[in-house]
Amino acid sequence: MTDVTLNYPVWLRIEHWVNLLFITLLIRSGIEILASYPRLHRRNDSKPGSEWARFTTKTMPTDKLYDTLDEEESYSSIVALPGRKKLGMGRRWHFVSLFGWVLTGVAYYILLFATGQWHRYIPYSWSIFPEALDDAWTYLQFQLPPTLPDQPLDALQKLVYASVIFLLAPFQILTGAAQSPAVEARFPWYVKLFGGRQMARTLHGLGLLAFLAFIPVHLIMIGWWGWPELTSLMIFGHVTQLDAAIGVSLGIVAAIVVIHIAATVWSLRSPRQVQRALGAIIMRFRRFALKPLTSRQNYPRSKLSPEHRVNGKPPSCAAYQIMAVHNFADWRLEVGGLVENPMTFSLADLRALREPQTQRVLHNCIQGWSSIGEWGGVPLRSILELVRPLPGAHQICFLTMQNVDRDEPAAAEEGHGQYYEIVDIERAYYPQSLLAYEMNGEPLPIKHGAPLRVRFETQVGFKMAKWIERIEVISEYDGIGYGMGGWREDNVHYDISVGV
Amino acid sequence: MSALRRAPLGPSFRRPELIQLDTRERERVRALVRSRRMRCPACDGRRFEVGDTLYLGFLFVDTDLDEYMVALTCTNPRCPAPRTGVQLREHEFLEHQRPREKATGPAG
Repeated sequence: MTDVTLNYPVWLRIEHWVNLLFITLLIRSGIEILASYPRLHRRNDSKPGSEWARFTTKTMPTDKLYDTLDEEESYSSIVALPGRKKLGMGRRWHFVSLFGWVLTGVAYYILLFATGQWHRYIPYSWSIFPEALDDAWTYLQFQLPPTLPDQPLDALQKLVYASVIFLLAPFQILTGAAQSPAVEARFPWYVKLFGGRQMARTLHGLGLLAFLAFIPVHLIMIGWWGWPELTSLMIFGHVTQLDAAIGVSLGIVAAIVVIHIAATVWSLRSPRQVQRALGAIIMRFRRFALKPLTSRQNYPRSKLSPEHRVNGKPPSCAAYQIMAVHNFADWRLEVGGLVENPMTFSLADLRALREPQTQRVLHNCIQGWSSIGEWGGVPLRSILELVRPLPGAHQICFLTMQNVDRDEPAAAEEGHGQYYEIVDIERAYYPQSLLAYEMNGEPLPIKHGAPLRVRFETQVGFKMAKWIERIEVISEYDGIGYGMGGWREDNVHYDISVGV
Repeated sequence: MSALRRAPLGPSFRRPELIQLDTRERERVRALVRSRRMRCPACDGRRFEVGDTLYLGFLFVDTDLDEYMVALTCTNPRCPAPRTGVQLREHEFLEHQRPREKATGPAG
């Protein structure tokens, strides 16, 4: 029982409609992210064929190397934001909407408790559960149960709304955070709470399904209880001017649809603008909250994935193949640019520098799959200590032997040329930033980047360039490629810093 | 971080993707190189040692499923770049088919 009148104050009405905007943006952009790896797994290794749910009809070859770029689906813009295989855009909308949704939610929680409106959702006694069961039985008989005394909801509604607001919404945020490589790397225990990286993704997907189920049930309930009256309450705060209330509510829904259409069209037609505009918001958060996190992972050997997944395809040219068949004896790594002492290393030189540092870590692909591998090699900081970056050096550019036009036909639809990636120079000094020439105790396999790849354990996989042939220390990346910080940033509009 | 390693990998290790050829297979490769009048791209030499082979069909996007790269080393001691290779079809030089999944490299 409450002494607060559970009406519909103006803040609650505004929050309701703002929430509708953000939740629908989150759902559509979430479906875009799912499309890039349309499978759900339980285990961290994302072993092909082990998925418990798949949202694709593609079958992969067994006699030819395929990567997860080949598995990406192109969903319609009707269900995905923006659709058509635009993961970079989908991620941006998802994270910006998340900020809006969280801010809305925090304001909602504060106001809910500050004004006593929490009474509408928080149960007072365990008796609500049998009452809710009775209500469910009443609904099944196509009748309306009574509302709780002095409250706007029946017991079942109260429980469902409380679950969505206080359980499902935080659950989605927590399972989303468990998919951040920066969070996973710094707090490996956290991702284990959810049963691992892929279980977190699975639970996040089930949460999405729960929201998708909630919305039509919510609408059906409103229709059943009295669409004009309840709409009027949610527009004007009291039952009045029913036709006007329906008109205004349809107008709000239409405005939300227009925002969705505008976001979709903008993303498809001017992705660079969206990348810059939304990226400016997202990057501030990442630099503040995620960049300081360093990896503290060291999974036990028993957790190594029997088959580590692959992204990117090896350089398909005779020069590379001849180097490979000779154990990469002729391969050289040039390290230059803004350094005092430019150097060239053979594979034997790198091995001779020091005993290899090894780390057993969870690898996160931006598409959503993961695997656990042991990487061995020379810390990047050891190389930088030898070449000595000059004042004004802010970033490091990794140039690879991969030519996207030749080697990655799926990606060549989006962009061309030599694959490269750039990171801030301070990341090179993180303890687990590694130039890896070994994997799982053996020479780094060709499909994983032989003879040399880089490892940044708080980032997603595309930042960890494979088949490296040159490292360039630079002052700014604006003049390289399209100036966005890497091949994928330039061509598929990913972020330069991807700790989530 | 861990310093644990299964075994040190010396400079003479063989990459797991590489396949060692037997004597007859090496001889077949040498015969093919001679019949094709292949010359060393660096010194124009004609004599080569035959090394390991790499199965290309699985790993590389624009290769046929029966293609291999065979390592050749120019025997001219003054050759500035003696390491080269020749691309061959499986039936041209292999005496018996190797398990291709092994040739694609280690799992993981």
